[in-house]
Amino acid sequence: MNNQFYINLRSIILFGFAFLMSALIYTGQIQYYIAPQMMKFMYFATGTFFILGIIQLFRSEDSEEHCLCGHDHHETKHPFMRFFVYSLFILPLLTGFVFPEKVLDSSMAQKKGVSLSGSVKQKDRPAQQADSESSKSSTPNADEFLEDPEGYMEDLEEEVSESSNSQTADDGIYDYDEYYAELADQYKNKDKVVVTDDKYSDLLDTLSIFLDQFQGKTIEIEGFAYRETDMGNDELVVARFLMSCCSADTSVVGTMAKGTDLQRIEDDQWIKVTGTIKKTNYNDSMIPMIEVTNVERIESPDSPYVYQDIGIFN
Amino acid sequence: MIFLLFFLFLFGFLFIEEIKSSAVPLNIPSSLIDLNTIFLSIVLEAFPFLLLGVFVSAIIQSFVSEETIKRFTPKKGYIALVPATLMAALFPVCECAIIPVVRRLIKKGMPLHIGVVFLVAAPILNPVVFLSTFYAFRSDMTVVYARMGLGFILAIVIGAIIYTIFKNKDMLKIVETHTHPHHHGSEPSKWKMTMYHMSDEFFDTGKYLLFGALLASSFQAFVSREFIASIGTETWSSSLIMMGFAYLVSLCSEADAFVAVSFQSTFSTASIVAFLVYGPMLDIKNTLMLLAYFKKKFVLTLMIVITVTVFIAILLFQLLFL
Repeated sequence: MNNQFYINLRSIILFGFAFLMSALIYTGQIQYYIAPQMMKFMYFATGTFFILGIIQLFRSEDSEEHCLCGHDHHETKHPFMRFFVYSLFILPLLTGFVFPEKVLDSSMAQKKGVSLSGSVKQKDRPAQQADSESSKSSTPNADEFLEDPEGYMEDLEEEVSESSNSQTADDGIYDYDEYYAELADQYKNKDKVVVTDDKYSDLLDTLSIFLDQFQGKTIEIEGFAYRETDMGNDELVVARFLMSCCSADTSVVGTMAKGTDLQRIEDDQWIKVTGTIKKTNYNDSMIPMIEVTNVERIESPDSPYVYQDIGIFN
Repeated sequence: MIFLLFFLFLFGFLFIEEIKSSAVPLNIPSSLIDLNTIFLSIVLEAFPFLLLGVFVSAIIQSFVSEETIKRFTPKKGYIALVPATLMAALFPVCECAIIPVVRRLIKKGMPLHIGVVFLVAAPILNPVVFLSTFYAFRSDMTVVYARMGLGFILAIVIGAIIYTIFKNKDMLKIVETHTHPHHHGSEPSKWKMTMYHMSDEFFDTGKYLLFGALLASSFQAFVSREFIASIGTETWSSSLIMMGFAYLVSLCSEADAFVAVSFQSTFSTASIVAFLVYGPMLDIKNTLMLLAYFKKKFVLTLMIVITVTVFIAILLFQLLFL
């Protein structure tokens, strides 16, 4: 096939991407792939693809002679390689148009690992480091807890009695960020914390940093049910995928919940959990746990992901 | 046949919702859908930056003369490394965008090692990357300073090593048949030419990006992190694991800090810094993109130099600061 064919094919592929992106944007399905703060880049790319597609469409082989400066000529001429290369470009177009969107769910959560103590890095506690070194295993926290649920419960009781000590210890260790402190302040005199989508990760961060202040308050939170492999029937993680730019960089944030009501909840079910905030020791770090008073099944929300609420990309 | 494809896309554009809902009963395995979601999201996220990169590259190609480049790039061997690194910090682009630009600059006469400095420094020393790292690790500033500091120092070290090995040899693939394509009599306007360059370069680089994204998303969809965490326990081994992980997942340097944070409970600070420094310098997709433009021997040397220096730097960092 001659060069003109490939020039046209390229033009079609450029149009294809422009079509795919604008279709994803107008149907809103783009939210499954890209975070809202990246949308201006998507508009830019869509527009650019249209322009390049149009220009490429009116490009003829004659003008190639002086303007291509060899770009095209070093391209692999082997028919099979050419087929492979163009298939690579057409593949995302086909799957993009055809494959149904699906929110990442607990099977993916398991691969990514779940953070139960907010998404912001907290300083390592010396004790924790020493412990993890002596405990010979480097498996994630969740595993250690799950291998020994009984021990975990005992730890929990111990921790509760020790909570006043750990409070003073914590004060010296965390660099309280002003932002979190302010957020925590807003809830000082409230009995109920409603975790909304727009503040989801911030609130969970605040919750685990100022855990003692939040203890005993009522919490209302939505998410999908996720259980670690060995987790008991009456326990689960109320989890959300947290996206910063695109779904490749999602991580899972979750809150531990416990209660007999949870037994009838199956994995991946979207739920709204109401309960009391407790504190629990989770492999040497304190994490929030909800003692569930009420759980109801809900429809999956319009926006399946929660996003890093940041102005930094603007 | 081409028109068939066009109408196929047009049809997809008009009826995307219907197609997708009718595809639901097809029972595509959910792991495949996950794979597709991640693949598409990497591709869609990278496209604007790739387009930006090829746009700048095409502009340079059409409008900036070699003399201008020569005048503005420092070229006195080793001394040039520091100003070059500072200049790299001015390019607010990630690794997808910088490669076409650097290739173009080198082609226009910028010394090789200066190009390398741009290549490794720009995706780290970059205002957006600083802010995202700062946001993700704001309660542990060690990581933020270490990432920026090591990025700066390592760019200079890597540039110096590359200069020692290659001096100023031409390491670009020989692709262009003639170097002054614009001196023909009648030709399309410069802007039209820029657009042509842009789409040609988009396809040249894009295929590697797509292939890299395919590999990286398969890795994300099929390999669990617990497994990764279970192989590395010592500082040196966990740093190597995190470097390998950064290589395989191929995240954009503007977003990788948020992923690194989720490793905080399982990995040491040093290995997280390793992840954050190594990833932007090298990963699957930019290796493939480098191979598109540079000679194999050079890409291989560069990979070894980067890997070894980053690894040694992380060990030193662990020894001195942690």
